[in-house]
Amino acid sequence: MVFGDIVMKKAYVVMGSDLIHHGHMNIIQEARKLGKVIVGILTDKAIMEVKSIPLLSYEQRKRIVENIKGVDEVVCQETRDYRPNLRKIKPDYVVHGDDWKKGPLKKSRDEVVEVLKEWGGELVEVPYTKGAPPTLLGRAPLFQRKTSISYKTPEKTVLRGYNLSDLAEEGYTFCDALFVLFQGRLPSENEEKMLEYETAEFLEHSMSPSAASAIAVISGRPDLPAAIASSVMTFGGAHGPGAAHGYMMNHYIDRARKEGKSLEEMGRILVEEHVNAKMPIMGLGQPQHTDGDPRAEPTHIKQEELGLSGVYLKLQRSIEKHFNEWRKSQGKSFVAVNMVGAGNTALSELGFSPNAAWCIGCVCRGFSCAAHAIYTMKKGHAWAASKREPMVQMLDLSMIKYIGPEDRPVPSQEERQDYALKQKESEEYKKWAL
Amino acid sequence: MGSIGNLNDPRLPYNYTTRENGTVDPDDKRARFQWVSEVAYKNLHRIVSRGYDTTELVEQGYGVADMIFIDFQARIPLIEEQKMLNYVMIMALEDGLSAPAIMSRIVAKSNAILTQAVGASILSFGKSYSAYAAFGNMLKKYVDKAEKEGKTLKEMAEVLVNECKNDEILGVSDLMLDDPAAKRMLDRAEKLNVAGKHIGFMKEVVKIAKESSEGDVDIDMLGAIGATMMDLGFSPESTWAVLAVTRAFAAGAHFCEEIEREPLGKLGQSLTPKDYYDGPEDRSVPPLYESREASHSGLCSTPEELKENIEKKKELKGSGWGIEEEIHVPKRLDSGEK
Repeated sequence: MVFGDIVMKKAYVVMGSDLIHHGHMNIIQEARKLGKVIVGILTDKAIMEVKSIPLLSYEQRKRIVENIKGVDEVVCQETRDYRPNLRKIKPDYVVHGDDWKKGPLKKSRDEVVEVLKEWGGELVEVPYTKGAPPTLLGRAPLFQRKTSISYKTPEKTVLRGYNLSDLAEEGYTFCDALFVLFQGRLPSENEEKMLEYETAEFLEHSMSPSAASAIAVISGRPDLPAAIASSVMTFGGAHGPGAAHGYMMNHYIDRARKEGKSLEEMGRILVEEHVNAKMPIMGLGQPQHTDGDPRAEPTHIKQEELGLSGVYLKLQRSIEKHFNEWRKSQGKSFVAVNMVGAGNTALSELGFSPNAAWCIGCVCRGFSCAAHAIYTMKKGHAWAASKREPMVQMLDLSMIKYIGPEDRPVPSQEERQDYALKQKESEEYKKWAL
Repeated sequence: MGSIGNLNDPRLPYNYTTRENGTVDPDDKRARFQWVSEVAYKNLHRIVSRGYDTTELVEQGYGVADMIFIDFQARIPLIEEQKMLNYVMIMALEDGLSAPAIMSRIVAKSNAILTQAVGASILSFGKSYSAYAAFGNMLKKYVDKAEKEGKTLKEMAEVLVNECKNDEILGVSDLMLDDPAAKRMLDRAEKLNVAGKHIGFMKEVVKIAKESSEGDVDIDMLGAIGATMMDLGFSPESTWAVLAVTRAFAAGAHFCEEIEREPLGKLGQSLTPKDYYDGPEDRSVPPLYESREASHSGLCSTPEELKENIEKKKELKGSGWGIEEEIHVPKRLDSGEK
């Protein structure tokens, strides 16, 4: 380009421009100082050589960049390889951030440096703008969310403000990290001890729905995570309903506050309301450990020993007392607290929300269920139906007890409409319909 | 009873119509079904893992890292080993908005319960992301080979790098060039005196990889954690399991935050703009009888015809024909341990 007798120099900048940020503006401003700014916009195909489909189409991105102050011309760059465009345009300068001196873009940089020598062009590298989102190949965010949990950069991973590596180096434990994760704080020594106690006792419970699920799933020999995932997903309304118990406790504690009642009194009210509504009380009774879950009462006692008994344990103890008083009055046997009642109470006391407590309880179990699945892979046969095994297997044909409709002939297509109509009208199918 | 479909075809190796109905009688010739386990048992009063009563364990002050050793390795760890596992688990706990976190958040948007979301997060552990089993089995293969062939770890590291240089599960990459965390972990293992042949081998692999790589590379978290866990005695599959579960705790936090901060999704609210579509152009639906008459079967009569057919079908993304390599699913543990 010639203006009077002055030949304007050309500065070439390449952008994907799917996400324009202040880093790009810095580069364009630096390029402006050098001459006419020509921006090469990567086509959708060029971007997708290494990343997923851009949010904006090429035409949309071109239109945005054309309207940025300082941009004189926009051209299309069809590949990640700069060389074809550079040889066509022969810019005096290529302007780029200095983040491509190492890593996956280094090859592109080396190619640019080589090709610029062909006409004496120069590479100008602008220091990487602090706070600019990483757009290095393969390192751009997969998914974007505002989050207060963590962030990760090429330099570090930070959890609630703490560098994870520094936490580990300092000798904190995994249980300390769980406090940081869910509560954004480091615990006291006794709090950490209580969580160690609980996570260790939640971990293994031999044959429960979660272990059975892991073993059943691995019998099909999917990848191991499928079995582990299934075990964690068995926790629900009947197996370890930790969140529900936590919400129940919070609800009654708040009622105590609003109604000016003691926690002792509120425990009695809770029992009365549940008994009258014929609703089971969460936190009591265990179908296998019928005379008391071996973990549960010791958990209460440990909580007291560590000086961590507060509103939750007071309410829980009151519930247990009043429930068993009622049972006695009905001539029924004693029912002990279970691990939801004891473990969840302690977790709540430590400051974990109902969902956080539930997460801790059920995910801990995932460790042992993984062990059960791996054992089954090592020692069991796939499918768990082999007749060669000396013991009847889980999926042996003889394990099927069928109690559905009797065997019946299949009507022909000609007969089906009348058959179907009679079947529907008789409504007999309804007793089996799911 | 008259013939049904092809069930009287003489090519069937059995007489279908005379085969018996009804369930199979209980098998009283073999031992009845029981849940066989070497890991744990429980009765009315106790829960026992590898011979240790778990309530007695916790009362004696053992914690979650100790329990993981007991369940997976049937032993109580040294204090240094327990500390190292705690270290590894802290590092594995959270990785920003990674695949497990995203999976948990996507499930959360459907108003599903926490355990569903957390379980989904575990499913994102595969052979590219956090591929600890694949990495561990690779490491084991070469370390075992070194012992068998009488080679030094340095010599075997050269072999590994030559054979697996571009493998994304090498444990050496450009991911941690500016983050000291992976190297710090190995240093900590040395200080605690728990570093063994796997960490030693990885250090040799890193040296060779640095010499032969075009760009800068260094040990990454896959390499550091994988090698450390194997030196702590965990098998590749156990390592994979422990780390997938460890990350699931953080997935729970992501579940909570997604619900706390973001609106729940509603069916039908997600749109896919046509700008993102590169499938067949809009076309009208032919009358049923017309398409039945005119439709070409996908049948191939020769291998050549099949090859040509497959090459065409590869162009239709989402058909699955573009996935050329079978994704390996082991019927047995790849580590071959019995």
